[in-house]
Amino acid sequence: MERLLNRPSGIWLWPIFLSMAAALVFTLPGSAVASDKVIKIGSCPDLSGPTSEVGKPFSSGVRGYFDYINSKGGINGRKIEYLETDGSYNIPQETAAFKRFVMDGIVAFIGWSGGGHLQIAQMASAKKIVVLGASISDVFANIQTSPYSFIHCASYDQVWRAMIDHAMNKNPGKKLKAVIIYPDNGYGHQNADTCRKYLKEKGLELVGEEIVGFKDIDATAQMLKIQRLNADIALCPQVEPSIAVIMRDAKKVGIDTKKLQFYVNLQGMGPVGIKLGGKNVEDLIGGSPFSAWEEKDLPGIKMIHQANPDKKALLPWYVHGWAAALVISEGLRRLGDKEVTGENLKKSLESIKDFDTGGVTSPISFSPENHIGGRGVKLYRPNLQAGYFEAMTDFIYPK
Amino acid sequence: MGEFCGDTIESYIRDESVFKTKTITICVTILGCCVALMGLGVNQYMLHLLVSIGIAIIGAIGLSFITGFTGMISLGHGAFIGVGAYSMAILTDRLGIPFIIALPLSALITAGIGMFFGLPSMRIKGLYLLMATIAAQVIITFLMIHCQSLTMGLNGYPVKPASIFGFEFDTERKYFYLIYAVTLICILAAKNVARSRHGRAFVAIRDQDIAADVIGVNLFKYKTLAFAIGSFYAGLAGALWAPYLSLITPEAFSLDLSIGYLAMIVVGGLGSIMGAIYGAIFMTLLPEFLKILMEEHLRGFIPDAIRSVPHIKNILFGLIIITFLIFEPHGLAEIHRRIKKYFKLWPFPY
Repeated sequence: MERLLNRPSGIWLWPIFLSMAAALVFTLPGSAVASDKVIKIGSCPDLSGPTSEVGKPFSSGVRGYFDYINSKGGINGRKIEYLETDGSYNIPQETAAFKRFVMDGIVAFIGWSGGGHLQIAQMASAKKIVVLGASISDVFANIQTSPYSFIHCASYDQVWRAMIDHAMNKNPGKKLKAVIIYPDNGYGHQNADTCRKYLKEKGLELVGEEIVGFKDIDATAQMLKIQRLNADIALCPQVEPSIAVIMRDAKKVGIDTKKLQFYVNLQGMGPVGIKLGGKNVEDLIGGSPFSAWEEKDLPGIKMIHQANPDKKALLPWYVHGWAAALVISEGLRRLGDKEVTGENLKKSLESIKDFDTGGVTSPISFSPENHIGGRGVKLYRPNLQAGYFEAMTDFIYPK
Repeated sequence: MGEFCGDTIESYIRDESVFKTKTITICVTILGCCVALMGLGVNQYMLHLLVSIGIAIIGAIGLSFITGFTGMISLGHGAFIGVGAYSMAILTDRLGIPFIIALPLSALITAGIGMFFGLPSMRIKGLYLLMATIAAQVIITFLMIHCQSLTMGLNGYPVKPASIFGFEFDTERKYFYLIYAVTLICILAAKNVARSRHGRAFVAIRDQDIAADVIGVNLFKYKTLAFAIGSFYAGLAGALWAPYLSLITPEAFSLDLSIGYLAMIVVGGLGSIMGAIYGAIFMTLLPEFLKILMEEHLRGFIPDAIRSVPHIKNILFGLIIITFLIFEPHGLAEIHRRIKKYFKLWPFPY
């Protein structure tokens, strides 16, 4: 110890420790309170990482809605200030972004990656800041662990239930065999857990699981294994590039994609997937809790068109971001003249019942016991000529 | 009578001092007090960065022992930090062990695992050892994801806030002082290990392992010891990080983290404690600095900068690292040494 402290020069440690002890007495608690004129909402979408092709349209959708609302005078006379930074699908960067925006006085935050969202939801609960996210797994709506976390639409659980129900309805009485093809990350495992649970509940046989990452450019080995399994359905929580790779390699090894039905959730259905996959994705079925840009008969989608008169098309993720912003805004609107704090916003959101989003999502309802807003899911098929996924059903409500 | 010119040392203890003169001691003391007092005045975001820097310093010093001092390249450091984090979570949550005991215990557990994965160093070195450490990274990450009964998998493991004798470190400011205290102790301990016979043995192995063996340095013992000390520090960093994050997931301890730590000690300067400290500060602050510079200050010139800026930021980040290493391959510590030397001799050139 003497050598460690280098006595007599070790005495220099004591002023440092005394300064720290004195400083511990002073703490400055932060609080999330909006100013009178401006309500701040933060976000950390992936703008440069492995999911940036969905992150950019998502953040555009969020910003698009807030800009639209601000152009109409804001909410209850207050403008929304949308603070955004690149999360890069990197958890430390996302948590640093959250801390930075808390300092700026946000009352709500929109997270991105599964792992990052989990951590931010924990921190947000301590700081009483409402959190929504691009990732809509059920785990984020756990009231006990993350009481300030909400899902602004149907969750992945409902999306996969709807698609598995569709497969069962197409093959009545048959005990279907399923495979799950997922990336080895938080998003993939959460979706895979959901699929496993529902397959077991419905008495379907899970015959295999394969890992295909977001950044993989070859899935031949995995498809060769799947070919031998004689499965009926393949459940793929993937993004557009990776689903294009999977479908290409499935065809390459000779899998009949009419016999083995591939299902992908909302992250994998978009024009990029069609462009990359081409004819390979023609038999793909997608599930999403959102309507598409092309459904302009719906009042909510018409509003998106009005807000973007110069756009010929917008990606599905734009609608996702728009919906997240719409739900937060509805919660803020219901506050009226009350002080805009995270705590009040949480209570306001929990009071929402059957909120009509104009068809952007199914009607949204929250409660103090339920933070998953929607239950409706639409199924989509790729329209190769038009270059987008078009709805083959209206909102269906899996049990 | 005339006084001596220059510094005189009149005892062995003075000769072994970390700080050679009273001036340096006073300056470092003032710096330490300033950093301590800084924790009072800065906002939560800055406190978060300071906490991140403190944890990065501890981790980087650990990797410095393995790679900088002993010359064994390791890309498993991120996984070792994860072992420390999960050890802390499991010890405090499932076994109810207090934080003050769980902290060194987590580090010791990580040291044991690090020693195990360091065993190949007896037979292989260089790129082959690098592959062995990558295997450690992959295996440990796989276990963190798939041993769900122990680690709760990718759903995350909630960790209680750090608490010492009833005093809870539940705010950034309190945690900053905890990290600061532990970091100071770690730096001192590392400095003393580095200049002990163990440290000299590490350097001998790095420079000429065969010659070191010939003169009696036990290669197996010291290579394993380097892994043990390096992993101990990594475990300590992870064990401190876990309560701060309040929820840990395996994704936070990926190969990217290992590469990040390797970059820290390379940019900071291999083979020195100060290099690890400089590298940790630089690599933690640079991405945030670039982000704020690009996203907030560029917004006035390019309204949609947020879309085009992320890629520019990543390119700039890489360019700065490369440029830096071209002009100063020995790292930030070498720049510090040259500046010190300059002012020592100033105004004379030599």
